Amino acid sequence: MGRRRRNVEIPSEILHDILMKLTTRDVARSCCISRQWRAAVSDPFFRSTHANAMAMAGHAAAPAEVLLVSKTCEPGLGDEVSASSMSTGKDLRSFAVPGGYDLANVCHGLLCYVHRAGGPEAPAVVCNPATGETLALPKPPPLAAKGRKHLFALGFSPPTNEYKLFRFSPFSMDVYTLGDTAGWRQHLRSSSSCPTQTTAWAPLLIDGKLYMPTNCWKRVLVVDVVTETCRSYGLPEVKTFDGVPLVGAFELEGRLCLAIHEIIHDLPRGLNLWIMSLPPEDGNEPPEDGNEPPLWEPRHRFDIDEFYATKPWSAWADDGGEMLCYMHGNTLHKYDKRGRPPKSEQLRLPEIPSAWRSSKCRWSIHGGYHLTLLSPLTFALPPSKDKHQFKHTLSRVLYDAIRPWVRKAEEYI
Amino acid sequence: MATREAGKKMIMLKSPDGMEFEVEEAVAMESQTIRKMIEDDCADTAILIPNINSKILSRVIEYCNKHVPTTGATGAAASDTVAPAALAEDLKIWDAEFIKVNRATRFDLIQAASYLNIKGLLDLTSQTTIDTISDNSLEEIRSFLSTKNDYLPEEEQTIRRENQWAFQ
Repeated sequence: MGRRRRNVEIPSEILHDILMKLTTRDVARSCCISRQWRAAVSDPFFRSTHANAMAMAGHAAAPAEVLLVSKTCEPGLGDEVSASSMSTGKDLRSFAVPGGYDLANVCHGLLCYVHRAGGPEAPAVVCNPATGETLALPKPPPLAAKGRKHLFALGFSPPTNEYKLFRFSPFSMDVYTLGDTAGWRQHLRSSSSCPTQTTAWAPLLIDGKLYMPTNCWKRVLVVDVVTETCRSYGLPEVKTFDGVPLVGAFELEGRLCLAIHEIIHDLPRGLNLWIMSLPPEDGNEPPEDGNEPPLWEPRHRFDIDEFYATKPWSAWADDGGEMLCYMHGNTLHKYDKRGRPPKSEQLRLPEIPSAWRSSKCRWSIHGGYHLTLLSPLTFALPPSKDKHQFKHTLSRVLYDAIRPWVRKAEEYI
Repeated sequence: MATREAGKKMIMLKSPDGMEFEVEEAVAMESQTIRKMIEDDCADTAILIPNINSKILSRVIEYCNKHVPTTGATGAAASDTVAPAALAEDLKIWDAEFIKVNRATRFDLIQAASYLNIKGLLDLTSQTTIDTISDNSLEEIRSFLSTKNDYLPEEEQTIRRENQWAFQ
């Protein structure tokens, strides 16, 4: 009031330099400063440059967060997904996915959705929960082989900053690099072990490699996102309970950690955490007869005396891997590694909708999420010529059809 | 003022408000813009610096004087007995004092650093902006940057809601 205040616009190169040095959170906050800042932040090129710089800077610049993803389905209204960061307690943007789509996996900063019953040719949808933007990816090619068992997983490779969508089937691995106009590529595989979908363990990305269980829970398939090569390794013994495999997975100390239920005399007794060391890569597929070097090291154990096949469960690591969490139904077990001895705590949470297996409300918890402002729309392919031509023809025809009438109407005015 | 030594090439920098500053060529060449002018032979002995008033230009020269590589030329401070680490620490403290200016001056410095292309000064001035954005409320950031909130109230509400996850 009365005080003269210059309104200054920062030269755009300087603004860009400043934004590039901010964390993802500060960039998002700064677009509330003024229109000039918002315009700079909204620029898709800036957002992808910033996302790349953050990915290159690694965990120090953008530590991994734990994401709670839930989806509510209202018949006739489509499905609404909301995601919140359990590391900060803040809700991200909610967004809509087409009906019948389920979360395939969380990969770095993007979520990948695939159609539950759409078969191997249904297009996947990727979403950024920080910006609320979604993009449907090109339709995968038909599966040649009989038996249409398949699994989709989104991968990310930090050195090349590429997102790749993989489709695994018993005899082939199809890959699509997001934004690649050349479309899908196919690699034939000799192994018959095909990864399977599980409620407790979605394909997990650790340090440029995707980890997923194969059918029958005997092996884990490890896919290198950059080289598009895969190898499988034996798993510690995994039990099932009412047909539900009792295994969960998360990243710990940069490696795969499995949470496997211990069942004694048909009763759940505890949760064992195993950590995996990848053997040095010598180019040979390890033998499938079990004569492998020891890969698995037992690390921690929780006492757990209940398990209900009808209730969802998740295991994850928080606080930079110092706090191990296991949630089953509405009970949360926390295991603080920093304590001497490690401190374990059990909490009762408010009742969680029991209808999680019906299609009303589904939720899951995923570690390894990295906030990014990368827009999935960056990967949208230019419309094909045919489509363009059609649009052009249509608008011409419509124009010619309507214009004389408009002219006539104008004469009356 | 540093004592002039024989054999040092001096450059005259002129501000648009008519002031003249005589500086060593090495100091002036801390600015990539001026360096390019000198190297391309576009400059005689006097260079007019447009858009930068004498007050800001004198501060910029002060900065360059301090930061010019001290190969035994710029005065008594750069003696061989001072360890490089101590020198860097000393420079950091000096920088921190240097940047304690009001926002109008700071902003003019950012613009001058950008125009003259002086990386160190640009980093120093933009780092204070980065720290401010990280540690302060939106209102404080705007006042620091002298930026007006040009959103309509309902617009601002929407944008804040969309980015709610980024606020503490």
